[in-house]
Amino acid sequence: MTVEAIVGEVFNLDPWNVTDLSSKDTLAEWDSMGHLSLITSLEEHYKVSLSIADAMEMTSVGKIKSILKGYGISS
Amino acid sequence: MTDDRSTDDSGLRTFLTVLSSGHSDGSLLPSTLLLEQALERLIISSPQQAQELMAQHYEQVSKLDGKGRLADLLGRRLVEIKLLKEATEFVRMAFRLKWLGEGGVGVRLAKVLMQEGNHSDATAVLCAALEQDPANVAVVRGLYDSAAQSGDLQQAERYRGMLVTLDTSYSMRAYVFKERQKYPPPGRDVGIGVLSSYVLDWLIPYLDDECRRAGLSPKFHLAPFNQYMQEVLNPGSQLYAGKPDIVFLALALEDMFPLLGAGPKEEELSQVRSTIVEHVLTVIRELEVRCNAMIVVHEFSSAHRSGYGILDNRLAGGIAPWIAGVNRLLAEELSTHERAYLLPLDSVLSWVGKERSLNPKLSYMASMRLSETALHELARFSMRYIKPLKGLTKKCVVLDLDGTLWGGIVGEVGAEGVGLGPAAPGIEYVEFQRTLLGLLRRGILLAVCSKNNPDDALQVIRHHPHMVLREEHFAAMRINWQNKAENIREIAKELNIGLDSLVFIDDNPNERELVRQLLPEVHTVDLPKDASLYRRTIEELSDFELLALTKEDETRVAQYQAQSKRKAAKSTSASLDEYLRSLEIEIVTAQASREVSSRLVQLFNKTNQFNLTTRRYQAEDVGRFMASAETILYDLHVKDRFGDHGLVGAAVVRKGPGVWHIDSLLMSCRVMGLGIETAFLERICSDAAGAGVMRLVGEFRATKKNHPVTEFYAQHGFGLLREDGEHQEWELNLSQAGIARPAWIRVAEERKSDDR
Repeated sequence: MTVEAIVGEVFNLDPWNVTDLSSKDTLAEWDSMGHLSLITSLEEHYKVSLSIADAMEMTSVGKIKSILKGYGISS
Repeated sequence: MTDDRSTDDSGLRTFLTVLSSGHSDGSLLPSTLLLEQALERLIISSPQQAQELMAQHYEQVSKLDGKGRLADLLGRRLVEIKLLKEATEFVRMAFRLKWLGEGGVGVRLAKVLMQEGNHSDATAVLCAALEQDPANVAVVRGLYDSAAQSGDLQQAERYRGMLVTLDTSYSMRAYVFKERQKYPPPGRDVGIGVLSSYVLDWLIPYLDDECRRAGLSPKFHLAPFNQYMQEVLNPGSQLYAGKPDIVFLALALEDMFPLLGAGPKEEELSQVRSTIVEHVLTVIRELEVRCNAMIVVHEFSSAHRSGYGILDNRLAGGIAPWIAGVNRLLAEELSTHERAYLLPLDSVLSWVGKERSLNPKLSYMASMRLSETALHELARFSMRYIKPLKGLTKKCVVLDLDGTLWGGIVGEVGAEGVGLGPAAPGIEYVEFQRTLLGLLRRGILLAVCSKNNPDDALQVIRHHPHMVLREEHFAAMRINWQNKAENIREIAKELNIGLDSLVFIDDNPNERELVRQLLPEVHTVDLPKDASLYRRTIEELSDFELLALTKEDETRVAQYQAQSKRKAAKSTSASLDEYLRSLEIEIVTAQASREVSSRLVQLFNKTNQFNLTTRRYQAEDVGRFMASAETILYDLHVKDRFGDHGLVGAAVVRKGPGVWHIDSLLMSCRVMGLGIETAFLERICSDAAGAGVMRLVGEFRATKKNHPVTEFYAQHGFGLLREDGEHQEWELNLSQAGIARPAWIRVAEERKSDDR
């Protein structure tokens, strides 16, 4: 599953409409509770435990992808 | 790939050649590969032709290893070139023939169909997909969207339920919760307040789902983060404005005592204990004064290991013993508050595992102390308070026998051969029966509904050495070859409880389906195939909770049991006379005293059949009869060999000069047909005679329901004195005739003498 697909699932959006630029500022559904839900889903899907600093930094799809690289995950 | 879509018909040619020659030359493997390749080319170049060929030669296609891939490819091609009608037809067929085992292409097609507004085809495709891929969330999502968009509210709710069952994550819960807010509430309202020292926002979608499954329409009020005290203390707060039915109070030890993890000193611990308990009690007292809600306090629980390690429970300052002590103290205090309950949070979390219950990151990032897994379990457990509060507690479990209460089929293996015993196999059924016996002790009735020869089944129930539940434990039994829905309806009638108070347990899925369809009000439990999970299945039901265990709960069972024994006696006694004698009926009649007034008022107002005048006397009338020297108010108590029926009859007699007048005479229909009424009347006669009165007049007023007693006075030798429409008066001259008390009834001494 791609990051786009996970973001689409968590926020109930068509993954085709999710891009690297999709972020907390562009998606209304991506609020603070939604952010936690997204972090949980990412951790569960990629079987990884993200540091709190990283989790808080993941505010756009592009950022999520580059941070995940640091965990050895290419998405 | 796109340049292949020209008019290349090599695929078609190869396909037909291989098909006509492939079977005869015996080289099946290469020919199937050839076929697959040919089909793939054809699908790309001429999908419509490929569809026709695959439909026509479906038997050959079914033999291909790559059929799933090919079907998926063709489905996508047809969608791509917008041949939606063909795509729908093909994809449905591919699911039906099990070429497609995974819902993907169906979901894709359904999405396009829905965009075109064609919900019926979209639904058909997705239903076909669901058959092959029943756990596919995307398929159910599609079905939900289609149902919601086409306005089928009932189906939409069904699919929402399936979605949260398939995907227990918070995001799915939250999505379904949001969707549900758009639709009118389905059931009875329940107002739920949540007060917490940590962030419990995520509990709401889980709790909402559980409430809706129970047929309730919940309205939530969640106090803003860490503002529960303001909400509690402010009489104008939103919490109270919402008039909650139930308030959950969830306080975390770590929030009240942050130094807990740092090895606090013994004196500090004991001081903090009383501060914490006093704080909780303050909240409870405020809530009790300001609203009518039931209050459910989460007990304290910690997932952290103690700094003292394995010495923790040896030390006076140990953390685990201290937490247990706080909870014990809370439990004691709360037991004196009628509306307050302590929710055993620690055992709720243990059920799913402490390690899975806490998400440290969410807790640090957002003060969310409980994980999704824990919230789900907590919501499920919370229903154990909400259901009884809303009167949703079930009253009776209807049980199948073969495969449910014991292993095997008694008609085939005989009474000795059934699976029941102290070791496996057999122990799992014994344990299941013990759990059911536990329910019975709580006041939940048990009944049997089995397709069996009664003799075979009773042989096991009466004589099998390892049977835990015996005849006396069942309030009703239906062992016959009738349709189970019919039997269950009869059981409900016999026990005089509603179908919606019944839980039906049967290992046979067909019987469950039948009952589910014919009697949707009955809660039919999905029993797992593996009998070692039966016990847990019952324990996990939140339908049997009581808010208090009253004496009635225990005696009610005894009464039903006595009733079933009486019936058993009736079927074994050769003659009616013998049966009546075997009951050893004993009656006590006396002038009623104050203690029984409320029961008398109840009898006057609800007795319909055996009621000669149906005068609905109220408490003040009863008081007046007791005080007056002109009237006698009799009460009638009945007992027999099997149990005490209690106060079941009453009569009002007005004393006049030379004549006594029976103003009212009534009796519960539970004791009709045993001659008790004759003994009761005889007692009134002998009292009159004892007072030197020789004329007795009995009144009768016909109602729609009292026809069983139309002939009552005539049968007892009274003559009709006068008649006026529905109203009759009957007379008996005691100097000429008397009434004989039935020989099988003993009249006990009065409980107390009264010389009025």
